[in-house]
Amino acid sequence: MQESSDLFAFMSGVPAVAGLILTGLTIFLTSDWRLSLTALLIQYVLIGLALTRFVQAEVAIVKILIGVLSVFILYLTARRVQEMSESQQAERGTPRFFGLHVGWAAGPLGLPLRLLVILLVTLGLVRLFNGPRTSLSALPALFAVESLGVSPDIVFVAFWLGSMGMVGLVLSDEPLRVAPALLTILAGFDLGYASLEPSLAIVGFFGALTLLAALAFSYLAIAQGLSTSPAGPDEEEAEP
Amino acid sequence: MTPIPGPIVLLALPLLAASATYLVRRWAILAAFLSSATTGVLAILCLRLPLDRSAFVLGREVAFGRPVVILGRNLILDPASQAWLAFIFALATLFYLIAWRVSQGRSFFPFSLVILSLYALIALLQTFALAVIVFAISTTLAVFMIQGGQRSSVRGAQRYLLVTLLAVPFFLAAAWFMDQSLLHPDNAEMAYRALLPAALGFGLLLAIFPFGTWMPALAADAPPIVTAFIFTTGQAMALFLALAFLRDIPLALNHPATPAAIQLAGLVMAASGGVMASVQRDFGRLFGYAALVSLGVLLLAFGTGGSQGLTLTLLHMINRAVSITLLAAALAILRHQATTDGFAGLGGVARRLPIATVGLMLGGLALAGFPLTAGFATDWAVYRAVSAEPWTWTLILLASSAGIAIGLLRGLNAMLGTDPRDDVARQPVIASLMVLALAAVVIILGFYPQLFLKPVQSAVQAFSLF
Repeated sequence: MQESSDLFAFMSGVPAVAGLILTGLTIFLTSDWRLSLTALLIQYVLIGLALTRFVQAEVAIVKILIGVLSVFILYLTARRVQEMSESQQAERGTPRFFGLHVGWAAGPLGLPLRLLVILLVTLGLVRLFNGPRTSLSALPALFAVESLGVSPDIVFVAFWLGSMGMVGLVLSDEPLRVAPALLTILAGFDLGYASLEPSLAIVGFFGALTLLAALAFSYLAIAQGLSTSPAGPDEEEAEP
Repeated sequence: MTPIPGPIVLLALPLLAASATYLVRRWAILAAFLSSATTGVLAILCLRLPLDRSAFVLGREVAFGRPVVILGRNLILDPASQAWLAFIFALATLFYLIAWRVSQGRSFFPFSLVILSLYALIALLQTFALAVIVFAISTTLAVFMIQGGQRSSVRGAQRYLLVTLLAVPFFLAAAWFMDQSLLHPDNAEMAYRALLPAALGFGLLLAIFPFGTWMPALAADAPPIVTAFIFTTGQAMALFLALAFLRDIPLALNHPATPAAIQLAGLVMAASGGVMASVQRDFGRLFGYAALVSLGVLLLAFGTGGSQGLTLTLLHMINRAVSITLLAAALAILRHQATTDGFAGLGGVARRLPIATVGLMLGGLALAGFPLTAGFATDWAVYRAVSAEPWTWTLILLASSAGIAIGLLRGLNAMLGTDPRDDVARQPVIASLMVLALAAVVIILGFYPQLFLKPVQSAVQAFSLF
């Protein structure tokens, strides 16, 4: 019993933080919905794990469940959209790496640009947390995250997820790519905020918001999928 | 018998009506009747019922001001919330009547009623953080009626959803600092720290430059009355949240940078919206940019400060709502009959739909603040209020109004074109009468801008910000 408890405590530390950095990276990099949704699922589990250091285990489990449900909603939608989409077939000929189009035809929003963005974000965050107090590096101080008693690794990973989600939003247009990016931002914020705000009402409402956001993006993805589909249901049937 | 508490009525009635309208959503007349009757009754209750004692409604005793506790949260209807909800329910009644004649999608009635119930919850909640999350939840529901079964573009709905959800973390951070400052009144720094995230959050929520791109995208994609619902009731609730925040943190209101920042944001919004409005090629986007300009003027009015500034803001909010409703109703007829709102496809439509054309022009001009329309009085007051600023401010505001007018003239020119569209059906009688009635209200408000002054002054007093 003691051993498993020790293992759990260990996992909620550095491994969870490292895992969150990787999941944020994966969600930003990949255009394959299977990979991005798997990363999002793992991200929610790791966030729950990391949160066990600050909140009751029950609250952490609820957050994991909400995340799993959100991912499930998006997964069902993505499968349905893929069945409807013709564009997937058209793109089959282009070279892919890690679910991304890497050929010249991949355009400005392909893998090379995303790798460059990751480099810039990493440098920015490192400077933000370790550099001298210039205007840029004063950002965490502006939001007073250092003085709140939140663990520095949690602060870093929250900013990392927020940044990855934000650049993901900027570079994406499709609902099924925007949704994981936005949920990453909200999850990153929740990671830092949950350790400060103990109110169960906030936890409940924030969870409801996460679920409804996933549902809304699913609806948008289906609507967009129908527009590219040659024979979808008629207009009125698509309404909720 | 125990009297029914007001908060229960305000929350439950729209939800019940939403369930009923969902069941009858295929019969527009029934759904519209149920929705408009519900919101009409709620608007009257909010206007008439006292908060300090019980009253009898249809033989049942209702204690409108009695607080209730739900999930450990105290829900109280205060005078400010009462006035706000009266405005929102009255406006919704208008929208439902128009949607009866010009379909806005079957999801409009049930979803908008649920959203109205959530707006009531926002007004009743005493916790800023929860109110913000509830507002974001209402946005996720709004997506379903914005899209309304149409398949073409999801850009407007997606952008609206994004900006609102992105604002949530900023607001929650601001609320946390706010709570800390209330817990430790000696630590003023905490209150100051709430200002930056709150400014970013309200920047996103109130479509302040450069976060306003969702407004034209939404106006282009969504059914016009749904757009009007979001531009008026949705943005009114965003303003309500801003006022609630300022009421909780008076420091933010007294900070010298606050009015200057609000005014500058308003000016930039008005300028950018005006420039963009002049070059649009369809009435949908033009509507979005005109509403953006008008929102900028609203912020300028608020930035003038003091109770007079707030009075001007609320008066402008009412005038703006009426103008937007007129424009949306006319646009709804145009899209319904001509199947497009792009200038290129509207040649000769003015002859087939003269009333809708007049409604479009008058609504647009009212949003631009032209004389003899509802927008003029408040816009003129704002011009005078900013006359203390560099003269370029007034010039920019005039240019932004001119930008809307140029866009309207380009649209009118296309509608008067020589290529008659014989396929366009004649104007629908009842919907056109509604447009005429709204046009009359816009003109009456132009002649009697003080019509709503008394209730607005009461609302300003109820907010007790100054």
